[in-house]
Amino acid sequence: MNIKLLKRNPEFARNVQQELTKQRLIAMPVILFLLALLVLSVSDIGYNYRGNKYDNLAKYASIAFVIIASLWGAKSAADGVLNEYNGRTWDWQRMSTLSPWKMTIGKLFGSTIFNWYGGIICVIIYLLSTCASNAIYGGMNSSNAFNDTRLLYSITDIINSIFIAISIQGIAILASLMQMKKGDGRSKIKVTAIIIFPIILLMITWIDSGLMYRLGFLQYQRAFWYGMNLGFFRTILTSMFYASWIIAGLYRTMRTELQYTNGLKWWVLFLISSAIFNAGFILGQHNNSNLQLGITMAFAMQFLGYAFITFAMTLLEPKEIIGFRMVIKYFKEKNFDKLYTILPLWTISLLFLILSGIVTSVLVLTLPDNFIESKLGGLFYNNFFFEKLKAIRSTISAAPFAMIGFLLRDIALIFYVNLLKKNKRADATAILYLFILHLVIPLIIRSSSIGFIFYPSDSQGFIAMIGAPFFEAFAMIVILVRKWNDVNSRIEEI
Amino acid sequence: MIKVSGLSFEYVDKKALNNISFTIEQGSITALVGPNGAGKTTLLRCLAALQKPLTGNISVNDIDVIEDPRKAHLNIGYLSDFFGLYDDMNVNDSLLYIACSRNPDVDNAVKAVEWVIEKVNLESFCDKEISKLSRGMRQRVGIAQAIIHQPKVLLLDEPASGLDPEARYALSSLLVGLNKTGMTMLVSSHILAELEDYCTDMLVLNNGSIVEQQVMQHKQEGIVTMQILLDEIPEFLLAKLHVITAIKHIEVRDNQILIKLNEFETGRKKLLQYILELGIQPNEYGEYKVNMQDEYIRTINSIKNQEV
Repeated sequence: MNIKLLKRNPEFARNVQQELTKQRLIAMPVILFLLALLVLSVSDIGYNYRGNKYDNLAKYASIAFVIIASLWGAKSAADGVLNEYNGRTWDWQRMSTLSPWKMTIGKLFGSTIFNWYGGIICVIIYLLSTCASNAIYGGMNSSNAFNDTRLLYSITDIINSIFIAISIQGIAILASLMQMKKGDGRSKIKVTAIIIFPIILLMITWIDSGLMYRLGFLQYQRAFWYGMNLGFFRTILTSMFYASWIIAGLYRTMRTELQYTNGLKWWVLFLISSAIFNAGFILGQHNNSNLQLGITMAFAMQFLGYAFITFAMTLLEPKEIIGFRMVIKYFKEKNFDKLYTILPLWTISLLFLILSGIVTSVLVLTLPDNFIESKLGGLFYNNFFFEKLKAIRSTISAAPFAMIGFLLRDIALIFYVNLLKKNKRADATAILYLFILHLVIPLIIRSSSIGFIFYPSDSQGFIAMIGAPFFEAFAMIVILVRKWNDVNSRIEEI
Repeated sequence: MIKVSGLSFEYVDKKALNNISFTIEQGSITALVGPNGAGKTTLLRCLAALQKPLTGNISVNDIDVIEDPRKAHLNIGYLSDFFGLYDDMNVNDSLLYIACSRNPDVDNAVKAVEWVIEKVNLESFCDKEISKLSRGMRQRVGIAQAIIHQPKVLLLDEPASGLDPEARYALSSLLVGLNKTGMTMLVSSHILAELEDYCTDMLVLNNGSIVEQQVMQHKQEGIVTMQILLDEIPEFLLAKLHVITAIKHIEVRDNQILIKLNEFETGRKKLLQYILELGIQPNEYGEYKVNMQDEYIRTINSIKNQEV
């Protein structure tokens, strides 16, 4: 084993030794080189591309990077921790004196070192082919201005892809760690279920990186951030922001695993900073945009973001009974210092969701009548959307409360399923129930007037719109409390 | 060395540990026995600061395990029933990694590897890939990983399961050897006969509760347990025995009297002579060797009888 690396980070050194075998070190460049030759030869034969064969190679190199560094990298990252759990070596690591940072870096970059090795080769091929395209053919376009910025564009693309790959790998480790916390310590965890989270993230980044624009939903890409035109750097800023938070989240989770106590400040900071960061893309999109409308939209977007985070954290966080008992115990003892260290993150997210919902609702109700003229700086194409918005303003202002009610019901349902005796796949079962509640039933009853029972709808007035979800949430919470008491009484009897 | 008080742990529908308390003395080897699902593994994991209990206190070497698990880990070695090994690494590299992750000073880590390899007799297997080792040797690597930081307390969960008789014998010798260096051990196992060879104490766990803690071998020199078998035990005999200062403890079981005797004060022959002088003819008299299997079965049966 490499002693120098061992001195710096034993976890990274071990991963490097296990991942970078001689055979793999030789195989990766050989395969990629052969594939590059194949692309070039195929491009020569079918020369119908608007660019040239080197552009073609650059395109495939970028696709290869996504496959090797992001997708395969996510699998390697998830394997990196799941193999420890399945191989029962995780206990050694938890009992080690390694710091959470060393463990984070060791796992994140160590278990994916082979993917980064392949990814770097792809980047080199990408850059070389881009330069070759420029030098030999003058690039994709004859415009000099375009070619001048092309290299810069390529470099920003690479940096962006690297941050996205880090984020996706980080999410894979986070999801694995969450899954491990939920495990019973005996049964093995399969990596396939974990990979779904990074894939979702990858799809979101693709959508965010221009798909909406290309599909015509947005008039232009959101290049402005608090009025500053970031151009190409917008995507880098976004991916860097989220990659940093994912690494911070990973560090926090590693701290928990290595038996350090964690407070909630990091999570609160994330919730606040993401709100401020995301608001920048809505506020100041255009010089003449209406500020209140911008703030309203920013809060509404963040409300949806918080709803997603609350729901995701409810599903991801462990729901073991001992955790709840401890929360109740510390709460009864008024031991808020301890409570602060064990409170689930979804509870804080829910608090932020409720606050942002109230603010959104108030802002929508107090929007001036001429708000439609501003049209959020012309971000959206169609006036119809804003006409509709004006007409259903009251409905929109009530929608956050209805959504909070439905979410509370869903959270209670998820916990109820987790308290059932046979709860091996509790969260998957809960998702199935929620799929039926949120998609199947609403589709069946789409033409009837009872939609307000399943989704925010003012068809029966505002009282029904808000009352129905809260009544459902109340009923579900009553059922949950009964189940909780039932489980408790069974434990007492043992 | 290990103090546990009011420890409770719960799963969704089961109380794994129910308000248990016990103390384990320094230098002892305690057998943790009990039926499947009694809570042995959960208890060991709580002691190793790998699981947080609902209530209770645990201290190891005067360190609060719940409040300061990181510090406690420096004093604890833990080997799970699955050993947990890096199969695709060789023995030396695997131990070097574990040593470095326990001790950031690489030079000291290298020395620790040399020490542990010698301690568990792995010298001829250093360059072998772990996946190619026999179960007995894998278990040795597991123990080496658990003791590489020279902990004060070693917790072993079913270390002998799946081992052949030769490997079991080697394990016993290894544990006795480690115990001689001052290491306190808590060993959970189903193979009671083998525990008997080296365990000084027994802790019986049933349904999440400690139902018995018994000293199996007296560590104190000169203390022996004598057994007297009689057809009927006369009251006056017990009264007479109680006044002898060399007798530290008397236990009566049906027609059997168990006496904890300090032989330095009164020899066993002298005690027999005294009993004979009292006009009592024992059916049997001799040193009582505690049979762990019998003691365990007796404890479990008495619990079942109480439940009925």
